[in-house]
Amino acid sequence: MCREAAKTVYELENYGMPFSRTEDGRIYQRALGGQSLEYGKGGQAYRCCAAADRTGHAMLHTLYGQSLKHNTNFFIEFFAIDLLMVDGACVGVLCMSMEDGTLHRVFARNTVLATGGYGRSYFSCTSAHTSTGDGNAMVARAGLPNQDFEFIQFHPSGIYGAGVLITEGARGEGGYLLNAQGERFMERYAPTAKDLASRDVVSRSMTIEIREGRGCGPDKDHVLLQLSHLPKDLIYERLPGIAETASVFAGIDITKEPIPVLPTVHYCMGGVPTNWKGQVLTVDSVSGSEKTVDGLYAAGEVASVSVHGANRLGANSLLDLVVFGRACAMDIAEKSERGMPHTAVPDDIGHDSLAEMEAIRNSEGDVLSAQIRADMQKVMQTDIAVFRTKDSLEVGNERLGKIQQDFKNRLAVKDKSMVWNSDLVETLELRNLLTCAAQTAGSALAREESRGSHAREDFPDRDDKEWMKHSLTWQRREGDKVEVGYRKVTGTTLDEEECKAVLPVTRSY
Amino acid sequence: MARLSGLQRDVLTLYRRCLRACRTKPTETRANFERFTRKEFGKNMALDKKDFGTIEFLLRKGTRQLEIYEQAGVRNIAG
Repeated sequence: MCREAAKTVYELENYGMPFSRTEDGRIYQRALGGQSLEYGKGGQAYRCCAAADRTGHAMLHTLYGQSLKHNTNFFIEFFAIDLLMVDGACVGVLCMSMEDGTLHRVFARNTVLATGGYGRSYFSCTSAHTSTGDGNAMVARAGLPNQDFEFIQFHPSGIYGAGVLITEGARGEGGYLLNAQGERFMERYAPTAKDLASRDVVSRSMTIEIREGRGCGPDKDHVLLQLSHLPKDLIYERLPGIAETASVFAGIDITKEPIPVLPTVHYCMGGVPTNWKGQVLTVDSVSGSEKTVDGLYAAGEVASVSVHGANRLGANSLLDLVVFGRACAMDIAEKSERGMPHTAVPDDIGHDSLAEMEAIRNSEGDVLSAQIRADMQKVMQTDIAVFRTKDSLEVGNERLGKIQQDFKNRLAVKDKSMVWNSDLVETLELRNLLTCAAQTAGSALAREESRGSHAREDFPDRDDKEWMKHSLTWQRREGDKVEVGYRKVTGTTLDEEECKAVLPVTRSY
Repeated sequence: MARLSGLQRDVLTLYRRCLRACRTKPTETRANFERFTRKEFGKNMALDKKDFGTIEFLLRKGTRQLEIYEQAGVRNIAG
């Protein structure tokens, strides 16, 4: 990923992505948390290319424009329900057109998952309403494992109440966090990096400050992000989106007042395990060895390559997506050509997924799916949060088990039609969220150490001897026991001559 | 027979386009597509011929469905 980064930025810039520029016309690069020189010993690095504070938005529109130029067929308002698998290989997808209620079996030699993460399994998250772990759940229902689900990143600056994200670039441009006493508390927790320490360190520091009673506001339950000391034209040039977000969602003028922020679920480091070409991996049940799944690829937040490990650095999500999305495309282009035949499939493929969907559509229980979703989100937010203990995780697992049983037995779907049935679609999304939540809780309970964003108060240290491995979780149907397995971490680089492997060291700021 | 109105002609044009698209489908599944077309049109036969709003909406919906189903990749249809 690091090797392809510069090339990728040039490619995007050639596509027309509007990066911010310096005076001499080069692409503007800013500091971002966790980025350093000399493998951590050389101070802060300024290498994050940005387009004001909406790099992702700019990238989305640039790539969409490019895709329209090429022969891309978009099926809008189609909701993918399940993967179609034949003999362990993926042959296509079963999906529903929400617009007219028809179901479609789409057969394809190659399927690429790019469905995003599952932030919506938490009560307060920065993700969109569609971030419901659909790809992860489809893979789980196909009997394949998901990797490293226990690592959920809490972003330090989500607006208190709304949960909308204030980008790390605000701290990169010079903003800092204050507690109720007006103190820049990050200097105590991370003397060198201060506010630009890694996101999990900052989130934990904020949580500790709030727990020890130094939180702000009437309920003392958040801290403040101060940007008003920065020059006004810097704010309006480099952070215009934040100025608008803060005024819309928090009613604050950032040039005069600080923003109330809280650690909010932002990114799921875990996902479908892939190799560096983007091919999905699974563990062969007979021999215990790893193998690739034919015809299935994954890229972005849904996948876990994993370049982020237990904690993701800022700006790497966009880079990961573009580099490994491209890797999927190149692998597919190498192996496939236009007009190649499809594998033979049984006539009734996909009928079991349809039967499940029908059962959900006709459910006549007493609990609405919105209620089940609210319960799940609250359990995740209280028990499987920034700080975890054995008790909280066990209680969380048990409560999730009950919620899954409620989903299986007491679900009520009121809207029975097929056209624009948002009740049905949200229930299917809830089904996906539940399996992601259950696998998160299961792997969090099993991992008895603190690593990156998985912080356990009863096991506060990192244990490289015992726990330097990826967790794999399987759960075929909601309510099933989550099976936890492990997989070795790849400690070497692809080419030791070009770039030596960096050995893990204790993290200190 | 009385002269057909513009709207009636549009409906018949859409039906003709659908049947022409059916002829491009593989032989084994052609009957499925034709049956589907007749059923879809048959669903709304009892509509009042003066209900212009509904007829125009159904025409738009039918055109959208035709655009998706006439693609070369779609090879079979059920229901």
